[in-house]
This record gives sequence, C-alpha cells and structure tokens, in this order.
Amino acid sequence: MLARFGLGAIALAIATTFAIPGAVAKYPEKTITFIIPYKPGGGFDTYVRALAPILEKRLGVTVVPKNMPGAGGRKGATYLYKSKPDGYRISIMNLPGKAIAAIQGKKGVGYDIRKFTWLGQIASDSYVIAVAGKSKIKSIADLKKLGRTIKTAGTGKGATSYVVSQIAGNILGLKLKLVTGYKGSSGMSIAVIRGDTDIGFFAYRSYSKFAKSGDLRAIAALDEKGAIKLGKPGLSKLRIHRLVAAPPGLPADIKKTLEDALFASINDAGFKKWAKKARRPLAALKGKESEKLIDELVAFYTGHKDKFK
Amino acid sequence: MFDSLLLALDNLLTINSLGFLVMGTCIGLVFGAIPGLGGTTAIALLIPLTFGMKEFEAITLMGGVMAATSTGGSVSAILLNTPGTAPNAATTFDGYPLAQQGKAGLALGAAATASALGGLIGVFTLVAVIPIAKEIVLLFAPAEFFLLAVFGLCAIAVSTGGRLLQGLITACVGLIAGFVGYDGVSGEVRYDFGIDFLWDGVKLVPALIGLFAIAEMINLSVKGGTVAENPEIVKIQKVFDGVKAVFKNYPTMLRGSAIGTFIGAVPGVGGTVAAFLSYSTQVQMAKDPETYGKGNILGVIAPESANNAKDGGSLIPTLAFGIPGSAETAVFLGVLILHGLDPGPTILFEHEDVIFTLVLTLTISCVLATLIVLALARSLALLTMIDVHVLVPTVTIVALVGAYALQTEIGDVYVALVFGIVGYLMIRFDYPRVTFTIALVLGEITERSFHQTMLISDDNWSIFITRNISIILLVLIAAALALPSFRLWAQRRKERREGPV
Repeated sequence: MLARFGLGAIALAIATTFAIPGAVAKYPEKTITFIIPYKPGGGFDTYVRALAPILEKRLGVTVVPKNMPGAGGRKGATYLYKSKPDGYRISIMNLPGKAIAAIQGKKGVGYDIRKFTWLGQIASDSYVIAVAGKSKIKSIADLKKLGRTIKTAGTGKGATSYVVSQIAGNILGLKLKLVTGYKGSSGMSIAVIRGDTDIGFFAYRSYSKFAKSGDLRAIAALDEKGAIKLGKPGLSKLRIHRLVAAPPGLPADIKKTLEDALFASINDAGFKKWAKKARRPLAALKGKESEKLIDELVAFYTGHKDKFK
Repeated sequence: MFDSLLLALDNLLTINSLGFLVMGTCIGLVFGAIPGLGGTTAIALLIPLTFGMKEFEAITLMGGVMAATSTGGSVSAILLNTPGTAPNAATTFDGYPLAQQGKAGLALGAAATASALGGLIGVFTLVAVIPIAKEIVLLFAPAEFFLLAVFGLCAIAVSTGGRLLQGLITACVGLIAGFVGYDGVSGEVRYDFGIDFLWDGVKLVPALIGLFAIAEMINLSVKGGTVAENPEIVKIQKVFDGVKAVFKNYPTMLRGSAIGTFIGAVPGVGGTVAAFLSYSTQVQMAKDPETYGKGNILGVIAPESANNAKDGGSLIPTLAFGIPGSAETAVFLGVLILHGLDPGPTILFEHEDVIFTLVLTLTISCVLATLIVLALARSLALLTMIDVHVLVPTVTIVALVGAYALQTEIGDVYVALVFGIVGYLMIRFDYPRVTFTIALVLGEITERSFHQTMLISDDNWSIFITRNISIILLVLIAAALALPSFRLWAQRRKERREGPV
C-alpha cells in the first residue's frame, strides 16, 4: 500500500515536472519584479511605487519594484531584454531616451527598442524650454539674437532630455551645446538657475514647480499649442513617454493578462486620485497603441539622426 | 513659522508618532550597522508600510531612520572594520585600530557623541539658514565641486603612512576603479570588460565591504585570536571617556559638523564625500599626521560629526528648491509624493508643518540613537573579544548578504569578494587602503565636475580663478600641499638652532 502510494507520488511528481508550461500552469503564480532602471526617489521610481500595490491587487501576486540604475538607464533595459519572457519581469521605460541606439543605428547597446513586448503607457508629458527666472532672455528670437552657441543642461547622452534638445535645436535652427552629467531633472533645474547653462529642456510637470517659485521661466512651450505658435508643429512630438515593457517574445496570453491589469490599474480610481493630488500627469495606453506610437516616434526621431553622432 | 512649529509638535506628540519615531530610530540603527543595508534601503523597504499611515506618521518613521543610520554604521566600522554605511568608511581608519588596541568603548562613545552633536548642529544650522538657503545652494557650481574634490584628494599625500610609493600606487588603482562604468558626461561605458553588471560602475558599498570587512576577516582567520590584541584592556575601557573626548576636542567636532552641513547642502555630493573631506581636513591640519590611521580618537570624531550633520544640511536644498541633497532625502521626497504631496521650491510655504515635523524628528532621533548606542556600547565592545572561529563566519555571511541585499544583485557579492582578496593582499604586503578608498570615493565626482566645468567654460581654464569660492579653494589646496613641507622645514630649523641632542 505504502509502496503503491510512493509510486503514485513519484508519477504525479513526474507528471507535474513535465507538464507543458502555459497549458497547465496558470499565470501569474509567483512574484513579479517591476524594474526601475534608475535610482530610488526619481519620477520613474515614484510612478512604479505608486502603481505596484494596485497592480498587485489586480494580478493577485506580489509586485516588487526593483531599482537597477546604471549607464543612464541602459543597464536595466538590457537586463530586461535578456530576461526570460515569462511575464515575471517587467520594466518602466522612457521614450525618447531608450530610442537613442535605434536613432544612431548603433549596435552593441544590448537591446533593440522595437523588439520589446510593449504592455502600455502610464504617462506622457510635454516639454518647455526654460531659462533662469532672472535671465533677460524672453523668447527663442532673443536666443538667436545672442549670435552664439547656446548651452543647455542635460543628464547624459542617452537621456530623454538629450534627444529632445538635439531634435528641438535642429527644428528651431538653434546651435546648442549640451552640458551633461547633471543628476536628474532636479540637477538640471539647479544648473539653469545657477547659470551653468543658458537654457534647459524640462518636462512640463517638473518645470511647473519652479515656475511657481519664479526660479525658472519658460520661453517656449513644446505642446501642441506652443509648437503651432512657434510655427513648427512637429515640435509637439517631443514628449516624455513613460511606458511599460516586457522581454521580447512574451506569449500572447501572458501579455494580455499583464496588459489588461496594467491598463485597469492606471485607470483605477485610487491611482487617479493619487496622480491628481501629487500633480502627476497620466496618459494610459494599451500595448498595441504603445507599439504604434513607438514605431511612429522612432521614425520621427530617426529623421534627425545626423544630429546624433 | 511659530504656528507651524506648534502644529509640528502637535503632530509629533501623539502615541502613534512617537512610537513610529522610536521604531524608525531602532530600524535605522540596525540597518545602519549591517553593512550594505543603508538608510535608502531601509526607507525604500518601509514605503509600503506607510501607505496606511497619516503623512506625518510616515515622516516620523522615515526621519527616525534617516537620523539613526550613520550612528548605527559607526558601530560596525569601529568594531569590525566594516563601514555599516558608505559615509562611515572614514571612521574605520582610526576607529578599528582603537578597537584592536582594546579601546572599542572609547571609540564607540566618541563616535556616538560626535554623531549626536553633529546631527544637532546640522539641524540647527538648517533652521538658521532658511532665509538664505537658496544662495547657499547656488554658491557651488561644477568648478567648485572639482576643486573641493581635489582638496579631498590632497589628503592622499598625508595618508600614506610613510609609504609614499605604495600609497600613490593604490590611489591610482582607486581612481581607475572609480572610473569603471558609465561616464555621465560623454555617455560612454568604459572598462566594463564586456560585463553588463559593470555598467553601473564599481559600487562603493560592496567595494568597501570587500576592502574592509572581508579583507579583515581573511586577515583575522590567518592570524587567529580576537580583534582586540589585549582583551584585558577592553573590560576596563570606559565609554564615558569617549564622550568626554568629544567635548574636550570640540574644535574638531565643530569643524566636522560645519563641513558635513555644508557638503550636505550641495546637491549631488553626498555624505560619503562629507565624511572623507572632514577626515582629510583633520589629518591635514593635525600637528601629528603620522598618528592618524593608527588609532587617533580625533580621526573618529571628525568623520562621525560630519556624516550626521549632513542630514540637516541635505535638507537645505530641499527647503530652497524642493530637491534632495542626499540619497536618503531623495527617497524621503519620494515618500512625500506617494502620500500625495508635491514637494517643490514652494515646499516651505505649502507644507511648513511637514518640514518642521521632520526637523523635530531628526533632532529627537539623533539624540535617541546616540543614547541607545552609549547604553549598549560596553556590551558591544565585548564583540572584539569574541574568538575568530565564531566571529569570522558570522561577519562574512552578514557582510555578503548585505552586499547582495543592497540591490539584490549577485554581481555585488562578487565585487565584495574580489575586493576582499585585494584588500587582504594590501594588508599582507603593506599597501595603504586609506589612499585607495579616498581615490575611489572622490574619483567619479572629480572627473565629472572637471568635464562639466570645461563644457561650461568652453575649455577656458580661467573659470577656476574668476570666482571667489574657487580662489578660496585653490588657496586651501596650495596650503594643504605646502603645509607638510613647511612643517618639516620648521622642525629642521628648530633642531638646528637647538643643536644636536
């Protein structure tokens, strides 16, 4: 009897081990890691940490935010790209920053942005060009009148602010020189206020706080209205996008589960209430729309590729 | 302002808030003492716990953690030669030799007292400079960061312990290690040997865990015995002597606190640099630089007062512009955002009570942390009498788990192991580790700020002499380099006058 039971147990164990994944195993059944390719405390970090508990409720498993900084966000992206597409590792991604390699046609960066499995977009924000509150410069025309190279602050060559400033400079006919190495948007704000550089490109939300205190002043808005005012409607395509990706080749059923849970979480009443109170913009998109957006944007950025050497 | 202070007191003086404050302080002490797990890790781990709390309760919990971590970190730095957090690294230089001499109680007492006083000075300075907070933050640009870093690097000259060549060699290796990974200015990845893990560079915490903790454990297991060479002295050492030493040497403590507050106020520099600058200044100004690194109590007081003062200092940019001055404040501001606040340059007008609650929490917590360490110091000092057969495996495991827990990356454990072997070889062949560490800590900021300065000035070197602060720093650098030679000259002259003895 005992022997038979033992045999049965072994048979069962073998059966479970060799069961076809996906057919028997239900997704999700263990902890999901939500990678943040930046240090704790920044904008990307906050979005993920606010979203994780809500996503957790929808999926029924623990969602752990994990910071993986390095190489201006490239390390985390490469890590995700090389991960197994089993739905247990996802990451927040920024565009246009992560598109640099695609724009430059560079190999050896570790990932191809178009091959990720895109799960959706959390938020998107427009840009402004700002000067220090005390600066005499009032408009793009004033900048051009200076008749010299304009310095702008950036975090690094590979960051979203770099792509935005190169393309905007190209469209507006400004000769820009990028001073890099500042830490995050707060480091860039201080650089402009202190006078290290003439201007800075800021996402509207991070700018608005400094506008209220008078430390920074926008000389041009790059949203749709502002871009039309400048006579260059194409500028409004330069936005910061906060998207969520999974490794390439994620099975369709897992993708659907994750995508739906993410979309529902971003539209969750509690999350929306938080975003409103903390003044964080939201712009939920599903996976397919995100893919379309990325294709469009990469094509747009690549049109300016001679500015990225 | 007075209204807010009362409101903050009202927030704080509830059973819940005080309970969270004490809890935060204890968590901070433990997380600080375990190598690898610093304040940022503790705060990040506690975030989900705060979702159900009122915002000022979350603030007292986080504030308690922030103020206590570097006090906790000094304990392991002194007893085990393992900086609990990166800002405690400079404490090991003199703290551990004291423990080896059996004077762990003295060092712990001094470190804890310096921590509390440093912390208080930092917080009071913060409140005093609120009206000119913006000006202070804007005073320092990349040109000044560079000169400040060079000033710190000058300490290498006096920290070689008489082994100039070996000291310079390890300093160069330290600089190279500091340059591994992503260059924030050019956007290129360097010296990565094709390993993705190294894109984030050689992280300071696992490197320090290896260089100090693992290396020391290897050394101890080869040597055998206990940390304290003469266990008899451990028993009679009085913790209170350490407390007295701080008051007796108040200029060192005040200077350390001032440096800590000031460096804390500069965004993007951080507590580790603050502690190192304080230590280097102390060594460079000392009449007996050769006694440092061998157990000079001033070498404990200087960095410990600085790394606690930086907590208050790092809130200066937060008040001025709503931006963090340290890694801990960055995560703390993240907590505020998660609680629906929107910290920005107007934070002081919009959330004055939040700031004052934090200020009061930091004040109470840094004193509380010190009292706890002082109360436990005598028992803690007995750790130096534990036989290596028990000590080595325990500390090695805790240190490696700490390295892993930092970012849950196995690569950090390898870094700790590699640096452990390198560190042991350095002990074995008598190459100074202090110079290596100074270079490793300051390498990145030296390079980055120089590169930025050249971009800002269009490669014009005059930027270093056209600004007031730069000139002051240049004079300090010249003085730091000239002082040892001058002293030597003066000493020889005196000897000549007095004639041969």
